[in-house]
Amino acid sequence: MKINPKFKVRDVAGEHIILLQGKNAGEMTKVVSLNSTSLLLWEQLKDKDFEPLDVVAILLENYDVEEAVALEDAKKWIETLRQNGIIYDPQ
Amino acid sequence: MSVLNFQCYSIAGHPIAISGGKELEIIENIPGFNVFAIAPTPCDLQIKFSEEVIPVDFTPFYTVDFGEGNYRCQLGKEGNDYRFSMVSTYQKQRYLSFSHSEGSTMVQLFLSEALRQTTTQEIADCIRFALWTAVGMLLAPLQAMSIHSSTIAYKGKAVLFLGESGTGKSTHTKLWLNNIENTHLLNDDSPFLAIENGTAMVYGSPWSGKTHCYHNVKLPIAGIVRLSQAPYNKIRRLSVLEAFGALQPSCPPGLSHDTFFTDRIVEMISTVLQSVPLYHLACLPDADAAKLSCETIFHQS
Repeated sequence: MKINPKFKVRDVAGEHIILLQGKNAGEMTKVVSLNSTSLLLWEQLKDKDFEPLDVVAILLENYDVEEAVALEDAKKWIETLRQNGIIYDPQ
Repeated sequence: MSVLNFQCYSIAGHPIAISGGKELEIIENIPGFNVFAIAPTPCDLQIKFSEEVIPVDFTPFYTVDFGEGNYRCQLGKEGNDYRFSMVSTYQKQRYLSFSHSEGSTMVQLFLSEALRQTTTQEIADCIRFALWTAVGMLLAPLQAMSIHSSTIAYKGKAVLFLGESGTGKSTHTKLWLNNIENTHLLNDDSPFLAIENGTAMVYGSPWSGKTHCYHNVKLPIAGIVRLSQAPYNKIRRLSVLEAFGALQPSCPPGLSHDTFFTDRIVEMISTVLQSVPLYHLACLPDADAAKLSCETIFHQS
C-alpha cells in the first residue's frame, strides 16, 4: 500500500492537517488532523510502498509499546487513511 | 480600431489597473466600484479586456452557478494557465472567459458578442462576478482574499460573521446596528482579508451582495464568528482545528480546488488563526444574540 502523493500535510497554526476537498460547489471539505505519532508514520512512509508490519516496526522503534498493541494501532491508522482515500493499493 | 483606456482601483490595499473599451464605463457604473477607484498609478496587477478570444477547451475543476442559476461558471487549468468561462444557461451561449497564468500579475478577459448583445445590466452582472474571481486570483499570492462574511465595524475594529447563505449573517449584523451604539456595517457579503506584517486585517470591497455597503476602509480584526441557528443563544471559543473548519468554507470556494491557491489560502488561514480569536455562535435572531457576541469579543458587560 502507498500514501497517495496528491495529499499534503499542512501546518496550520501548529496543527498538522490533510485537506480532502469536495469535488463541487457546496460539498464539504474534510479535514484529517494528524497527532505526533500519525505525523511520524506519515513522514517515514510517505514515499514508500509499505505493509502493516512496516508501520508496526516504526511504532516499536519509537514508542515503548507491546507488539500486539502496536499492531492494533497500525491497523487503525491504515484503516482511517484508507477510508479517506489517502492510502491506496497501487495496481 | 478601438481605444484602450484604463482605470485603477484599490482592492485590499492593492492597486489594480483595469483596461479596455466600453467595459470601463460599465464597471464605473456598477454600484460600489466608484468608491474604490483611485487616481492613475503604475499598477503591477492588471486586468485587461481584450478582443482576443480566450479558448475554453479546458477540463473544469470547479463549477458554480450564480444569478439565480442563469449563469454557469467553470474554472479549470490548462498547463500553467487558469481558465474561467461563463455561459448563459438560458441562452446556451458563452458570455465571458478569462485566462491567468499561475503566478502572473495579469488576467485577460474576453466578452463574447452574445453577451454584448444583452442588456447593460446583464453585462454588468457578468463582469462583476468575473472581476471578483479574477481579483481573487491576482490577490491570493499577495496574501489577500475575499471572505464570505457580513462584517461589523465597532470601536475601530472589525468582527466578521460567517455562515452558509441563509444562516442569518446579515440578520445578526442588523441586530448589532440596531442594538449596539456606534456600530457600522463594513460589508455585507465579501470583504477582503489581508495579511499585513503578519497580522490579519479586513478591507471593505465593491462586492457586498444585495446590500449597497461600500467602504474603502481597512480595520484590524477583533474576532471572527461562525453562526448557526438555534432555539437559544450560546457562544463558544473554537480550538485551532475547529477554527480552521469554521473559516475555510468562507474562503474563495473555486480557488480551494487548486493546489497553488490552496497553499496560499491555508497560509493565510494559519496566520489568521494565530492572531484572531474565532467563535461559534448558536443564536436566535434577537438583540440578546448581538449583545452576547459583542460582550464576548470586546470583553465588556
